Amino acid sequence: MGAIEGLLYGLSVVFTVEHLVAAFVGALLGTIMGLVPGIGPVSGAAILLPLTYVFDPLTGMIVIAGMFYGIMYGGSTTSILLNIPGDAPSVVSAFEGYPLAQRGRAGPALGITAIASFVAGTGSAVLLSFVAAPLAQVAVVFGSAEYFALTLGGLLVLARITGGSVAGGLLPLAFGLFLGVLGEDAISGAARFTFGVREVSQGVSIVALAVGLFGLAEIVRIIVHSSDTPYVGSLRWRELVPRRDDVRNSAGSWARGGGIGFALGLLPGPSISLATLLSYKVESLLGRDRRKFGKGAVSGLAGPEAANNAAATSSLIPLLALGLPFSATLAVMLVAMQVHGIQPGPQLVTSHPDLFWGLIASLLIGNVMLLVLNVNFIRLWVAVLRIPNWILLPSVVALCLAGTFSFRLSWFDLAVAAFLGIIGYLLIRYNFQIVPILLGTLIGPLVERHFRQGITAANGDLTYFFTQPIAIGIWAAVALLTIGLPLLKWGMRLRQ
Amino acid sequence: MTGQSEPQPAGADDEATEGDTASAAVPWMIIGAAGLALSAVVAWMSWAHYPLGTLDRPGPGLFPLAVAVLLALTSVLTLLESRVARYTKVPLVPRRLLLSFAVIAGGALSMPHVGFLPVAFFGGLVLAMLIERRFRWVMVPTMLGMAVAIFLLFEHGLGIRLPGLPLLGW
Repeated sequence: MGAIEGLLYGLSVVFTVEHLVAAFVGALLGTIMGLVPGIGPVSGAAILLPLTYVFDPLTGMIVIAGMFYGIMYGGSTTSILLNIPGDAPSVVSAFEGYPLAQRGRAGPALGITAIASFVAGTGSAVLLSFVAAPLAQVAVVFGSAEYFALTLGGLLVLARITGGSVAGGLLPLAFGLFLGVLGEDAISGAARFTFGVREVSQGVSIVALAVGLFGLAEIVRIIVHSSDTPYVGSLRWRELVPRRDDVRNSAGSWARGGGIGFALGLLPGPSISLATLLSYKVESLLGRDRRKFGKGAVSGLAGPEAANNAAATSSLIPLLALGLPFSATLAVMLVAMQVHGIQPGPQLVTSHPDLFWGLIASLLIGNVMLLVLNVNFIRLWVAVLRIPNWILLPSVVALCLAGTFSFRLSWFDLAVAAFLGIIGYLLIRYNFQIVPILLGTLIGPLVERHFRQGITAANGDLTYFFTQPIAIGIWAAVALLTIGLPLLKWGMRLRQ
Repeated sequence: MTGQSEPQPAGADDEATEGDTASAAVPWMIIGAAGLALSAVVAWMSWAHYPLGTLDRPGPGLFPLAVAVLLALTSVLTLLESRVARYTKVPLVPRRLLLSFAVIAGGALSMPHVGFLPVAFFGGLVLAMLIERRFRWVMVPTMLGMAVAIFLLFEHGLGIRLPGLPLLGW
């Protein structure tokens, strides 16, 4: 099935009243969660994840796609109105968005953000359908050696490039790999590290893991380091409409930002933040109103917002085609898919074309719903921003506990979520990375499976993993990213 | 989000201001030592309790043993890096931190036994008081409403039955 046929097929699958309502609800919930200052896409998605259990896989994915975009838009809104970015990529939105809001132009700033998100998100979703399926077809020929290299090499790269020191990334990764072996061994059926407790034999719940590490840990951080949020003035729908010169100043920036975002989103690591920063830099050189930079330049807001959404969309390509999440947000997306019984990867496009193309179409629907919501519900967002933290945060904690428990009705899951919430907060505080814990737990079982399948097929010959042509290429890329780049940086620092 | 600026909390972490950094040697050493202890337990259990198999037919103990080795190596690396590890200090009241931990851990462990409604109500009340740094009567009906609303959302909106008040058989 070609990209256009696939996309049309996906649209035919998702275009029902039920799915449109699902996309609307997802975008609404996502935007509200994104408006809670300090809660970024990862934490927001983890907290909202339990609300999608009841849906069938496709409807669940449509809700999640709506949430995915909604949370990002919500984060940008707090950046523009309050100068409090919801997440790292939204930091750039505050550079020009907040000065615009201070000049009484908050409405047009939000309008430009909404249109930029829609244009770039929709364009990238269409491009994604042209790239993801062919890449998945290539990956179908991968054997255990290639998958072992991809999964283990990918983990090593992600643990190294999430920032911080070597131990700060690798120790959490090793801990995550340990969590991944808890419970029943998928190949032999042996119960590992269960200590005779029935609940442990099911393994660590991926929901408890995501909610604990990214939901509860973040809430503890906000409560402990709490600060007050400035008052937000009122806004009306009329005020959202950008002026004609705003659109003229933004049009080129949307295209440039979208292109930068789509290209950088394909890279592992904090590529969305990099894309927004690079787009801001490019607009400061090429933007039509570049002279206003720092004082509320429309192009400095439009470009990075387009880059943000385009990168978020294109970063789904490695996840859909290879089954590998390249960032924390995507790891939570992978959790969401697994909760609904969907295992992304090269087989998905052939074995479940309805899900694969439906998922891509759901990104388009999510973008449309977000635009509809953004222009009609602006007063609701302002009202949400006025809810005091003492109501909002306890409600989120209660939602986290209820959602974690309801997944498997297991006390063990609640204990894991609470434990990881506390441990996660302490690790973040002392500069350890928590993303590798989630990735290690999610991807570790795949590393083990491909290793055991490969070594059995190769009659115990370890060189099998390092002599297949594609595997050699993957290991070379891993070596370049984990050893070559740090050495290059070190050499450049020495020369300076 | 009230719009009022608050004074620096009494007893805040070494009167830290945001952006200051300090040595994280002790926490890193504790984390490194905990990692080493965990790696020893994992290695011993993998070796003693699960078949390692052979290289051409690996057993369920082999991968955990490899993970134990990785845990040990990265723990040693953590201990070595602890001398130079630093963290950003933020104003912090230890009592608030411990109470937040207690509410989350206590709520999670007691929920299956005492039920969602009391945990959400009392836990929410404590967290609300922590955030506001005082008790206000309006918190009581608000937290009660929040607990009931989330319970009903799961029960009727999502069709998932949470233990509401198991002690009363509900």
